[in-house]
Parts: sequence; C-alpha cells; structure tokens
Amino acid sequence: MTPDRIPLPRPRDGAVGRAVTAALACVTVLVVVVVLWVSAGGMAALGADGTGLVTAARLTGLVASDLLLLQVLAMARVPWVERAWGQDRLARIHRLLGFTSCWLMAAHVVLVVAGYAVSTGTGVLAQLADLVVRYPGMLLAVAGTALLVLVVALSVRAARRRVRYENWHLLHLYAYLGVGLALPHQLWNGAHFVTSPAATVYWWTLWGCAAAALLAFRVGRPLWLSRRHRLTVGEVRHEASDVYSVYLPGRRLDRLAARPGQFLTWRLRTGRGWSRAHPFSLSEAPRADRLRFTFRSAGDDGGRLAGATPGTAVLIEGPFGTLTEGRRRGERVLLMAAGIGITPMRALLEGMRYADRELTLIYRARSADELVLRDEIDAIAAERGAQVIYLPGPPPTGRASWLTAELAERYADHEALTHLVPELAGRDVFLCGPPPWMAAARAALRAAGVPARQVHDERFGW
Amino acid sequence: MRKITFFLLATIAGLVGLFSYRTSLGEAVPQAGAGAATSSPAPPPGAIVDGLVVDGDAVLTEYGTVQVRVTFAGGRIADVAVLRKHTVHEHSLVLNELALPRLREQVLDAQSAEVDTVSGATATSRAYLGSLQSAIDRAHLR
Repeated sequence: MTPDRIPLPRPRDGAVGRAVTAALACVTVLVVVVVLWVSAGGMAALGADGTGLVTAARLTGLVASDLLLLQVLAMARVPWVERAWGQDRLARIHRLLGFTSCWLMAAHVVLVVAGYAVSTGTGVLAQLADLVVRYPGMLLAVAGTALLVLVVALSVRAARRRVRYENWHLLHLYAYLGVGLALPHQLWNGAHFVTSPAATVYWWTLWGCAAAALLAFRVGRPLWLSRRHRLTVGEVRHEASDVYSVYLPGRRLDRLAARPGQFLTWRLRTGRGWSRAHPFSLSEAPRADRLRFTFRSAGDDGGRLAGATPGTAVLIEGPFGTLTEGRRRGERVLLMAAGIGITPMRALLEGMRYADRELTLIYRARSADELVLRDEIDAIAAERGAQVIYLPGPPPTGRASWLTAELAERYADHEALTHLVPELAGRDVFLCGPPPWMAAARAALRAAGVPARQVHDERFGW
Repeated sequence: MRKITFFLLATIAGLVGLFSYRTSLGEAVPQAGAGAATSSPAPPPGAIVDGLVVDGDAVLTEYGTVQVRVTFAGGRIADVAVLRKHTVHEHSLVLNELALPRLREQVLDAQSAEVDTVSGATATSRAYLGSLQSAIDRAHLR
C-alpha cells in the first residue's frame, strides 16, 4: 500500500458551487410561483373581501405545492444534490419543508373554504361539502391531503419513536401517493392553471421532472448499479460481542467510485425481510473487487444480516455521504470515533493521503473488548505512521463529555484534547459516533480553538 | 408480508374507488338548478318595436367572455339579458349563477352601470358592467 494511492482531491470538491446552484434553483422555483400569482392580479385582489381570501388561499396552495415538490427532490437521491449537501442535511431540510408545507396546506384549505363561502353566501360546512363533491379533482385532493396529514403526524417525534422504522418508512411512502392525488385539483381548479396554458405546462414539466428524478435515482440507478457490480456476501465475520463485518466481493467496483468515509444502503436478499434497507458505512477503503461494511447487530433485523450465508445477493444504493477526503482543507488530520462510529474512520485511516505522523486517530469505546477492528487499525497505523489513541472506559455520569469517566475527573474536555493531540488547532477533524458524544466532542474542539469549518461530521437520526 | 399485501390491496381498492367518482377525471358535477335563475331570455335584436335592443361589447376575461343585451324602453333600461358568460373554472360558473342576477337587479334599480361589484365576484361583475356600459353608450349614439 503506498501513501499516495488515492490522490488528494481538489479542496472542497466543488461542493460549495453545487450547493449554491441547488439553492438558487430552489429559490427560482419559488419565485416563479409567486410571479405567477402576482401576474394573475394576486396583490391587487388581496384587499377585496371574499376575493382576498381566495387569492391568499391560492398563494398558500401554490407555495405548499412547491415545497412538496422540493421535498420530493431533496429525497430523490440525485447524486449531484447528494454530493452538494449531504444526505444528513437533506433529510433535515426535507423535514423542515415537510412541516412548513403541511401548515401552508392547512391555511390553503381554510382560506379557500372561507373565501368561497363569503362569495356565495353559503355556510362554511355547506361550502366545504359543495367543493368536495362537485369541483373537479377535489375528492382526490381530500384523499391526498388526508394521506399527507397522516404522514406528517407519524413523523412528529413523539409518534415516530413509537413506530418501528421499517413500518414508518413504508407508511411514509404514502406521501408520494398523497402528493400525486393532490396534483390534479391544482390544474383543474387553480385559476392560474385553468386560464394559462403556459402555467399549466410549467407545472406539469416541474412535476414530470421530479417524478423522473425519483424513478431514475431511487429505482433505476440502484438496480443498474446492483446489476453491474453483482455484489454478494462472501463472508460474515464476528468481530466482537454484537459487531459483525460483512465482506462483499463484486465486479468492477472501481467504477462505483465509492470513497473512504462514505456509506451505502444495503439490502441482503436473505429471503423474508430482504426488502429492509440498512445504511452502513464502508469499514475499509473500497477495493476494485471487494467492499466491506461493519455493523452492530443491535436492531431486530441484525440477526438476519449476521446470519446471511455466503453467496447471498446484495442490492445497493449509493454511495452516499460527504464525510470524505473532499472536505479536507489542510495537511494534518484528527479522526475521532466512538463505538461503532469507528467504521468510516477506519476506512479514512486506510484511504486518506497523509505523511508520517500527520494523522491521529482517537478511538473511544465503553471497554477494551469493544475496541473492534483494533488489530487492523494497529497494522495500518504502523505501516502509515499514524498515531492511534485508544480510550476505553465508561463515560462519566455527572456531565456530558467525550472522555472516559477516568479522564473526565482529571481534565476538562478541551484540555484533554490539547494534551493528547499536538498542533490541534490546525487540523481537519473528522467525527463519527453517537449524537450526544459528537455534540460533546464538537464543544470540546470549539473550546480548544479548532475553527468550526475544520470540523467535519454527519448527523443522522432524529 | 401478509400485512403489506393487505395494505397494498386496500390502497389499490381505495384508488379504484376514488377514480370511479366523476370529478376524479377532471369533470365537475353540474350545480343543481344551474341556468334557471340567470335572467329572462334575451329578446332577438329588433324584435321589440317600441323598444331599442342593443348588444354590449363582448368583454374577454381570463375565465371566458361576458356579453349582455340591453332592452331600452321609454328612455329607461327595461331589461338586461346575458348573451355570453364565463365558461371556465368551476367557481366562476358558481359565481355566474349567483352574481349575474344580482347585478341585473342592481342595474335595473339604479338605471346605470355604475353599481357596486358583487363581493367575491369581482372579475364577473367588472366584465358584466363593462359590457353594459358599452351598450348604454351605443344607445345614446343612435
């Protein structure tokens, strides 16, 4: 293995440019909708009674629909968008847009019913019934709204925690149906679309593109990649108490262009339960003929994965993730891992470009037994001249800390960092571990004077 | 798996049910009694000997065209009939039924096109009154 096997990519990897372009595209889509509304006399009509309510209803409806579109696109796994923003951030944006569009949708319903009721002099309930029963596409819209509200309600944190992830995810797919059912009423009743063919073409094109992106990148591309690389389970190796590594031989994996620090979504075709997908990080630098992921079999599906027999076919999505060499800004690096968070750090330790003594790895675990992959980490460190600091031991009980209880008694969080890592402030820091641990580590790094732009992590789970 | 099959079948059944409803393919269900209340039928032009019958301009809006035919008798507006009204957008059709008769009454009372628009039906009212005003102007020219 030679240190310069993988070339150092251009700084930032063009991610900023892509992120700005994507953000501009989103803003443009929103602006066009508002322009549509204004050009149909929206502003002027706001003042009139009855008409004002209906006009405001149109604006909220248009923007809600637009945000739904952006949510679909944010989750469409478009590689270009993924590289720009990272899946963790996209998921957070998706969540934020989801709640916003739900409230706008509610406002749209209330305003339109109230506005029509004023103009026809009918009661609110009679008006609502008339709208649903008589107006084109409205029964579909009601069904679509019900599905979207169901999906949003299930995604509220308190509800989300009570539903098993797989079930939640399947139910979440109803959002696509909800969006699809809500679309026709916009084109058949929306004054802008009924009266302007250009607006209708624009709307259809936008939704057509979103649907195409979804099919291409969530269905087509994964199937095509899985077929091209033909990954199978080669061996499942028991690493420690409940940690397993799965070795996956495949073809032409250099063309998959997976990078150390990235993850893929894996589906092991073991028979019953095969459709459940799991995102796991690559736990070694990807090779042309083999990938490997390492996982903790804590979940109820872990036993199925650990019991996969050699030869089991594997479907993949990805690679995803931006916790790669592309984020790096300087020469010196600190990798910080806790628990199973070691897996992407182990891949980075092997695959990053660095000279003798330029890289330090800090590895936290609850006990020495849980320092999985330790032998191979030692071997790589010896060959590449990396410094590895193992910190096994239970966490302190009194305060949130990234340290062991023993060290936390003697040092403040940031002091321990500066003691352990020479020239800390100039390093790029890559973090992976449980969210509370990462939060404590980030705070310690900030206190020790490492600028936030040098701290790289991905925050999943909510 | 059995649960998934159940959900899938229930979803498909629900969709079939939804799409079998007539509004789900873009149609509207016509209003009960639509067209009845509009106004008196328009007299053919020139049919009334002692009255003058004048057609207003056809006013084009984004929801269609609105045009009225005005009957003058004894220097007064005797009647306003609707020749063409909005044809696009379901709610505009509702407003046709609602606003046009009200506008006719107001106009006959005021003997002028300068009356209030019907609230919630601004576009319909403006088009109606515009067509009416052009008919009045034309009658003065004769």
